[in-house]
Amino acid sequence: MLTPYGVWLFLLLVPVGLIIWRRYKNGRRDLMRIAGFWREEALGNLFLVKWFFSSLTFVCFIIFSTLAVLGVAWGKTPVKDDRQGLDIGFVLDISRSMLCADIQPTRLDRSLESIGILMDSFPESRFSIILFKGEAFKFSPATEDHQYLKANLQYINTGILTAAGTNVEKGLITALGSFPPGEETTQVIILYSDGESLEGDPETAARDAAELGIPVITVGVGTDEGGMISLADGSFVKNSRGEQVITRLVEEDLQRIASVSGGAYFRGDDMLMMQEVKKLLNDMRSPKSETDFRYEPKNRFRLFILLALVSLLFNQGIRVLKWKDLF
Amino acid sequence: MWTLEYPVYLFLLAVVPVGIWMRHFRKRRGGRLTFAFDIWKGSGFSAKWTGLNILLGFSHLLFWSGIIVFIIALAGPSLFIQERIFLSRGIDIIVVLDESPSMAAQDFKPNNRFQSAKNVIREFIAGREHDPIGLVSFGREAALRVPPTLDYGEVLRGLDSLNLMDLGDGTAIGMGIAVAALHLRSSTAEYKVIILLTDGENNAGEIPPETASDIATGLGIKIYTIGIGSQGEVPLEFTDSKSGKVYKGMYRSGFDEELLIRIAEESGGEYFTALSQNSLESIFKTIDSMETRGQKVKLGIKTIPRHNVFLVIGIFLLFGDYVIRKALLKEVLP
Repeated sequence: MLTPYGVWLFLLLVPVGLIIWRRYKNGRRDLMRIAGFWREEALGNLFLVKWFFSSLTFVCFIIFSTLAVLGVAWGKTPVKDDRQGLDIGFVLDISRSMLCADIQPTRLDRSLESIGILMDSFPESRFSIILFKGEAFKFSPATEDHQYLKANLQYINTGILTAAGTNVEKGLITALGSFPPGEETTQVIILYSDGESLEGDPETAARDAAELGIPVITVGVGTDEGGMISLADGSFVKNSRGEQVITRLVEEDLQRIASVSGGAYFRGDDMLMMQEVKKLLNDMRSPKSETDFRYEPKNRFRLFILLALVSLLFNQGIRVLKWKDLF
Repeated sequence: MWTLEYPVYLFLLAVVPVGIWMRHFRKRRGGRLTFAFDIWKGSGFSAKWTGLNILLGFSHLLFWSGIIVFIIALAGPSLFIQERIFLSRGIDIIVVLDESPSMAAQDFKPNNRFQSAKNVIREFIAGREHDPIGLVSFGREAALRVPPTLDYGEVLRGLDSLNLMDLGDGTAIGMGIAVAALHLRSSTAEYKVIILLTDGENNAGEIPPETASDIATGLGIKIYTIGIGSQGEVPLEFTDSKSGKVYKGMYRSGFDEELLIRIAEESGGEYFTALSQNSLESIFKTIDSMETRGQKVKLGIKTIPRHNVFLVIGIFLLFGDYVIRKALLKEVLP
């Protein structure tokens, strides 16, 4: 799992670089003033050598420790897998833009259709349904009562919740809480949204999901060209200037949620989307090898911490060990 | 709870005192310049315990605590969560509750029958663990309120939202059982149970109770039936939640005991009569103990790595030391 916010630590290199530069500019002069110009050559050369390696090792320290925070991973490590069964939490955006008909019949209907197909494809699984706008709520708790789930899908519409907005963070967090406790099942969240003007911090929620080992599969419903939002009376949604609002699929947040949580992103208008989601769910459900082991990316943070500490060790060594009887 | 994944790395902490000695106390340590500051037979000067020195000491403190925090991060500090993991499938239970107006009869002091039943069901739910519970209510019609789920919070919310007469003023026992059976049909549970609470005779619904109970029995569902309320005249008072109308009067109470006994026996369940809140409580306790099966449980351990917190703190401690020494105190020797 990569921790993208760790990248900001690289910014520390800027002040460190400035300090190194200043020390180079002034250090030698300061040194002569203290130690006497009569030793200029010997001291100056040693200063240069020590300054160079000391700076280099400190920069290495910052780089390595940042890489450790980032959680750079390569290779796979086998993890024993006792999980049985599949629990899916559907998180469905029911903001008004989901009424747009750029995907036929509408984004919302297409999402519901896809949810229905997935329920049929995994008859032994438990499902929960979470709807969100500005707020999120559990439309159905996790249950294997498919009868109930499918009968209730038809009651889902954008008017079911009045809170304005599209707070995907709340949706995801509600979904994380909807999985039954004390179960060793493969748990997956599937998020349907057009990704437009998402509120909340989806990345935090995605990280929480990743920590719990729950990948979020995101499905972007909508098209790049977008379309207008038709209302029940046949008119279209207008903005404050009286112009018709065009809504488009915005993929960035959805892609980020998928990548941070270890899920995958799919486009709702892709004909093969359903097959791929099913295949992915099947892969997630059954451990990949036959001996009940699954493979997880191996986080190499320990190697980078060690490298960072070794860099610091050299950095201190350069300082502490006296060279040529000078300093 | 906190734990360390590889505590063996903590042995590296032994390096810290050696490092401190090497850097701050060793006689021939580097990082110092020798130059004359003393005239012959005169007295030299010594550094005073000034603010600068305090700052320098502080930066040393930052440095060594940074190193310690880094070594702890290396040992892999993690949050350690223990949870009970159920290896066996629980029993699916659907509670079928009568919400016809007669349930407002006030012979269950201090509450009416309906409120008492809700309270007792609430306690029953609290006592279960890992058994999916669902909720069906019926009046003239029947409806599934909550599908069988382990999310007991939802079941309790569903229970709280039940109101008398929401589904009309009849007693469709058959419909209640049929709806419950329908929703237990796709369940993968080995044991399926319906608990039926009613205080009246079946007088509504398209499906007669006998047919419904045959369907349920055919699906391997056990039905416990509870006839509630005393027979005879009882006072009744309630407010219709929809119209706000207050209903008040005397009511001739009675349920079809024979029918309830037959349903219970055919499906392998039991029949109970509850005349008071206390007896209703003990009935639910009996059902609770009859429907308790040994569950296979194991202790699952989840560790959530938290080394990043330590790393970030460590980086800032060491960076702080660097800035104080190099930028503020303008340390000359690299």
